[in-house]
Amino acid sequence: MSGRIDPITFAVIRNGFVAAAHDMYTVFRRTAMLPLLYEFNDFGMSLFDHRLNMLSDAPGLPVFIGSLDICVRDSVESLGGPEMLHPGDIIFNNHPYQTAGQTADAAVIEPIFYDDALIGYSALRGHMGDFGAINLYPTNSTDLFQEGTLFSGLKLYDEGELNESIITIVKTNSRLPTETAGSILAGAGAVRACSRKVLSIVEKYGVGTYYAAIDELLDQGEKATRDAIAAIPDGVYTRSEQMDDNGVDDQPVHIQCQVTIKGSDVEIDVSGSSEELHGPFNVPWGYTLTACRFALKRLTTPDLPPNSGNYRPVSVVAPEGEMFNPTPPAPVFCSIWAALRLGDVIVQALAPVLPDRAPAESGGDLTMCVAYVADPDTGHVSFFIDLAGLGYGATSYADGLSGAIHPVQAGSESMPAELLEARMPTLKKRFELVQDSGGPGRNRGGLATVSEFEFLGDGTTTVICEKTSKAAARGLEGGRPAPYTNAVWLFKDTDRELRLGKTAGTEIFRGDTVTVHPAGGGGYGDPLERDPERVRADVDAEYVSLASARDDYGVVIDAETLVVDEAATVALREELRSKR
Amino acid sequence: MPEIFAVDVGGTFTDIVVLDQGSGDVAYAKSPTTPAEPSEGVFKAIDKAGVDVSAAGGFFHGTTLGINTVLERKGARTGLITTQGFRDELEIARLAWPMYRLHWERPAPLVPRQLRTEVAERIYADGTVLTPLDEGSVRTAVEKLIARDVESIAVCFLHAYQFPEHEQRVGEIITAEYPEVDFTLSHLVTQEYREYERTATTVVDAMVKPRLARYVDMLQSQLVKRDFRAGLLVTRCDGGVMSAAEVPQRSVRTLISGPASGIMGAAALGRWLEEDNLLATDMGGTSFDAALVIDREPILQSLSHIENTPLLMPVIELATIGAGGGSIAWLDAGGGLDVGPQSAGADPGPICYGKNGTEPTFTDAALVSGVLDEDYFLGGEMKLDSEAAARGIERVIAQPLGLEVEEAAAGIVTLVEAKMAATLEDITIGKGHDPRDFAVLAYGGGGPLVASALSARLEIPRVIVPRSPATFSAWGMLTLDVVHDFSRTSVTSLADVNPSELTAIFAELEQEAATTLEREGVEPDRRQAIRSIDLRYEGQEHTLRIPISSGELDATTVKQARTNFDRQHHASYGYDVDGPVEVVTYRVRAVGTLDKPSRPSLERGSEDSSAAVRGTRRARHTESGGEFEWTIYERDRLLAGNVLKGPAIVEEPSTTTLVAPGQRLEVDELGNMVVTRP
Repeated sequence: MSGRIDPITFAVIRNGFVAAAHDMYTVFRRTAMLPLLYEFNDFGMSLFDHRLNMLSDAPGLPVFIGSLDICVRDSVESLGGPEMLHPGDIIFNNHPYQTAGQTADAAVIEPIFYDDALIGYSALRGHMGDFGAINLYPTNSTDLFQEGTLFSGLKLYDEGELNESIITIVKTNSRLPTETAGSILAGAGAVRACSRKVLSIVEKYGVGTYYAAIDELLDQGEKATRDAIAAIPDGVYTRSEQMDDNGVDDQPVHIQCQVTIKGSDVEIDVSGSSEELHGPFNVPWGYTLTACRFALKRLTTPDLPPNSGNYRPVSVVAPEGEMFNPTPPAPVFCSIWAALRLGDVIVQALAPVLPDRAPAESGGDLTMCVAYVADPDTGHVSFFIDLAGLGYGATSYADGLSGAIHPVQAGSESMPAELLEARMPTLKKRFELVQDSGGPGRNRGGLATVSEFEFLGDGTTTVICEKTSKAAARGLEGGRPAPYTNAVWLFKDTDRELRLGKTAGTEIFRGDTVTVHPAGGGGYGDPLERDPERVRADVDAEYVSLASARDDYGVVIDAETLVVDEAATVALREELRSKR
Repeated sequence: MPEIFAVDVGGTFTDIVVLDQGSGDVAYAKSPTTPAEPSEGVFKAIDKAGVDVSAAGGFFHGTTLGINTVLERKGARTGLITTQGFRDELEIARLAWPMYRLHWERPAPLVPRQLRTEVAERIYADGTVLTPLDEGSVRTAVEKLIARDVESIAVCFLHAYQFPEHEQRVGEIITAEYPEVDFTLSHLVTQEYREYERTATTVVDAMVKPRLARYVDMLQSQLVKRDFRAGLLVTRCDGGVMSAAEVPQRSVRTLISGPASGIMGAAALGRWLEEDNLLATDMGGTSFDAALVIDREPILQSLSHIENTPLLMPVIELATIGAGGGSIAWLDAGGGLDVGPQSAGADPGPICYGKNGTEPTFTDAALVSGVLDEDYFLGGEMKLDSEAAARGIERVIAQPLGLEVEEAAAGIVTLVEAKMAATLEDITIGKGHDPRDFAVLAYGGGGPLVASALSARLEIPRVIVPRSPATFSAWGMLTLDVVHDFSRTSVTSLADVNPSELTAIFAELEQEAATTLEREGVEPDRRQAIRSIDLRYEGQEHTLRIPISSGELDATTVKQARTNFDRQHHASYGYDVDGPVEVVTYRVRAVGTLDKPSRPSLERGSEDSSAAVRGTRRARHTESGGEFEWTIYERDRLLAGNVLKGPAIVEEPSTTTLVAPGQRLEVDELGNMVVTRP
């Protein structure tokens, strides 16, 4: 350890940074005005120093967090640079090419001043509601201007004074005026809470110690990451995948990724991916950088609180004009689907050299249905969202995780049926794990969930998911793929039935249903090597059917007593092996 | 006047506090906890304290049996019955998992899938019955669970928090046809929505109920043998007590009740001392608990967690971090020093206990720093090994960090203090309170040791160390009242609430309150009903609780509630909104007032405290400014009015109080030590 700051003071200040971000989290959740924010945590928040080093984060969406530094940088630039900032200012920005998000994800940023010097920023980005896009959640926009009103780095508060004009413009252009404006104000209250705590630290220890602690924090973050990268064999690892489509036309969507490990450095090069897409799946540069950082974090130091030091060893190459570095006004509303896929591709590229860590593929991505539903009595419009739980790939040491959200949103929580139904005219009909949905393996892929809703009012819906056709969740080391791919069904079992990957702005009427049906994870290792007792336990819990136990695992179980017939199992496994 | 006594069963010790109601004298004793059969330890403590049970006027009891049953997963074999389509919610647990992972092994669900069954029924949020209860499917489900040897069944249907008819019918069926199993209906456990959290709470209740019911039975039969004729009152997590007969109906309410008693005791002591705002801080062996007492009242919260399991019921709000005497110091992958949350527990415990502990803990660090006395631990009952502690700190911390061992030891103490201070900041500054408006009340074995540093960090003017801080939570039980909460959730715009309707809702809740207190045997003149409503801005989910006056309500009541809400929102979050406000829940807290301990008093002395000096010791304490020669005082010899100045250490059998240089300690007439900063 360096001699710049004593380890005790350092530990104390590091805890203070985490506590500051946590204050922001608490205040935002308690005051935000959309279920998406206060129940689902559709936000990311972190604390930065004035050089845009991330110092700490709070639970939320990891992909939001990793891109906030660029968002802060561009927001400040659009105001004319740091010298234009004053104590009491709070910046507001929803320009996707600056925030590295979508128009609905607006950033709220407070510069932190100590003795008139800028020493940091408290920042959050959250899905604040609606800014007047062509439909509620465009999966089919063909340029940026269809994605909502743009606010490019404005002062929401100017030296403590609320700029009412911004609130008026937001409300005038929003389908959810109260919720959107109220959530933005809640964001301002939240960043202030974070700044207050940071200032209490600086007041106690002095600004010199504050910076010394930051240097140490980043050095430690870098060291831990470098140690982990150094443990990966040097080499060049490539992987490519196709996405289903771009939401608009039949232009192929190709993700090309080359990961180069050299000592403790890593370069991620996505050159050769598709040219700028005609639909909104382009990923602004900042978001691409985030996707790469996030994948690296998962591969290297998942248990350490993140900071910018983690990102020092990583460099990213994305040629301008390609889908991972588009230029305005290329459409970007759904960039997260391409960004999270890129992250998964990076993980899978390294899977062959990380046999003890990297899991088999997960079932899907964000399998999502959103809707505006009008209350038949009052006409009040509510924003509905459901993201079902995926099954995750098994690893060399464990079955895959069942029924969880994609890691890019790991801090999110599903909406309780009781809250949803009390809040908006919808009926949740079921929410359960699907038997046999995980890929068989020595370790089994995680099971997916299925959720089904009935709308009790009229409105419109957008459905969006990937991996519906072109790629099933593959297994590893002889593990088998998941049996089906992602889907969202509208109007299932009626003559209007639709099995969808993406569709925007479909009309829905009272009594219509949606079934969110993502896929399970891939298996790991040969299913015929799975301990028959574990197969029996899965059958007992109804995770696995008797038929699958027999056909996929070669385990013969008595349907009545659930006892394994050992001799028959040995014979059946022999027979299944010989047929390969 | 008879004696009343309180017994607090902790992880390591069973504490007893005995109050002589005539003289007001209080006696304390500690006896080892007997985990296999906790009632044994209870009676050992009673005997050690010399209580004549047959003449006693009351027995307050707090037990960790419930929480340990959950933590060790040793509860009854429990089955779950849910609304069709929702049996997996308990396992899915709202889809969340830790950020940044490639893989995560979710903790096993409290009830495995083969013991989770569904029945056909569905009630909508507005009470509409979409699917009537299929009683045949209820019988099938119960029989399936019984066939799988279930001892207890949790029943949780959607929207039962407000529309419990289907759950009630299931209860009738089980009672009439399957009397051999215990069961818990979710609406009786909590009237709050969020089905995952309510299901988990219901399951926890069902899991602990048989064991707690047996325990209370055992306790009562022993008491009968000893001719006990007064009431056995069991503590609750919301800071009240209930009669032992209520325990089987509300088992889950006994969880986290130990810390709650301490916080209630803090509030009671605060009223004597005329301290409006207290920070109650309790440092034990594995954790540090902190809670606010504001305007002389603790705060209730509606959701809390035991490890990963949510509990959706009123619990006295407290923040807990894994920073106790046994918390382990370690270096993370980046080489940074950290302490806890892993704890060496009571066994093996800190290295200095000499029970084969190998990981350095807070207690080891405090000993090596010199602030703890190796010869006076538990009043000298247990000799500590400071050399072994120093070797452990050297090996794990000092050597890798390139520090002297004393430096590392002092650093561990400082880091723990800093974490505690951050927790105190969270619950004060983080919620809009200025810590300088509070006094610290320090208790638990370790509380008085760290309080001086905490008060310095947060600039808190006063620290109060009560008598016998290590058994303070048990003392707190003596201050409790019978408490039951009643609520009605019904979301309406505050502007649409008409005062007569409001009066009617509260009258109805107060009727329920009166009926329950009647059943608990509380005399009418001892009954109280405290009203409040939960408000929020339209669009928000979380609410703020606003008190409502008693009696007839009029339009000004509603207006005043709005004004109070805006004000509190601004104070808590820095802004308020001009938009509409919603009422979410109407609440009545029924209180049956019990007799309280009278103010104690301590023999008066002069300012001169020299008679209590036992010697001096060198010790290092970074927050106090480094290494000093500390004067050592014996607390038992201090008299009211005695004053002493830091650097000083006051020792009593299970607690050490640190007085930093410049700080001043004065013993008040009740026997509390009050430490003030210059």
